[in-house]
Amino acid sequence: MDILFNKTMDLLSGMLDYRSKRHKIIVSNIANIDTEDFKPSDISFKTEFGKTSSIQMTTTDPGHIGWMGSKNGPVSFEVKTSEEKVKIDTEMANLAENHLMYNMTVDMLARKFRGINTVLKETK
Amino acid sequence: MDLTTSLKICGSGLAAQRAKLDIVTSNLANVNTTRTPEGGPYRKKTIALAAETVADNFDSTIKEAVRSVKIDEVKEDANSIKMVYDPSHPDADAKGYVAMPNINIMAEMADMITASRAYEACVTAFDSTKNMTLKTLEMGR
Repeated sequence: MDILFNKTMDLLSGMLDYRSKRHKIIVSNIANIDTEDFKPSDISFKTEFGKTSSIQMTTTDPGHIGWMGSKNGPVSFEVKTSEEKVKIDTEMANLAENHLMYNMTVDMLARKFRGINTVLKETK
Repeated sequence: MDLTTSLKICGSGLAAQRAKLDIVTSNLANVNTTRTPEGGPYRKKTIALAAETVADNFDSTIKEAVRSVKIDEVKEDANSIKMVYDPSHPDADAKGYVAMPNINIMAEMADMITASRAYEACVTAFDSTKNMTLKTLEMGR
């Protein structure tokens, strides 16, 4: 299965997960714009994406150096709560940015699927 | 992935801002009201919103950060009465003063615009969520 659904899938689905989590947080910040004592939050990666998903570089010679930062483990997120009040312009900008990145990630996943589909169809 | 939670939060924000707009409109409509069912002139009302945790069993990492909003209480400002000299008014007292609601129209208008902008922000967030969900469904095509 790894040949068909390789690491690209893992990376992209991890990205989608992060984007949908972030979307939820931004929406909650916007909904609570008028709530007294509400502190907005944001989410970021605790570890680098590429490092957590075990991408391996092929070593065909003992002298080759492999992927230096390969560590196994799930991507972990960090939620930070700000001490300031909700800034609507920042939140709207974050919303738009996150939205575009989400759509881009979905597009890339769809392309991947379409690629596999083409391979399956055209080799008949 | 559970974007319906986002939709619910957007909905709570829309409801809260609409309630706020209702209160502002009621204050504006009753700037000169001297008679109410409770007796006495109309008293200015203010709304207090509170953040509420969302029941979402899937996301433990962002549980604390994601909050929906609810209407906590509508307060009545007891001191919002001013005495206006108008002897011809049917509710004037022996000295010719009428108890009128002390509502600042400018402040109410400003509140109204704030609420309407916040409502718009919630609508944009809702639209964005809807668009993302549709985009996800498109992936399978």
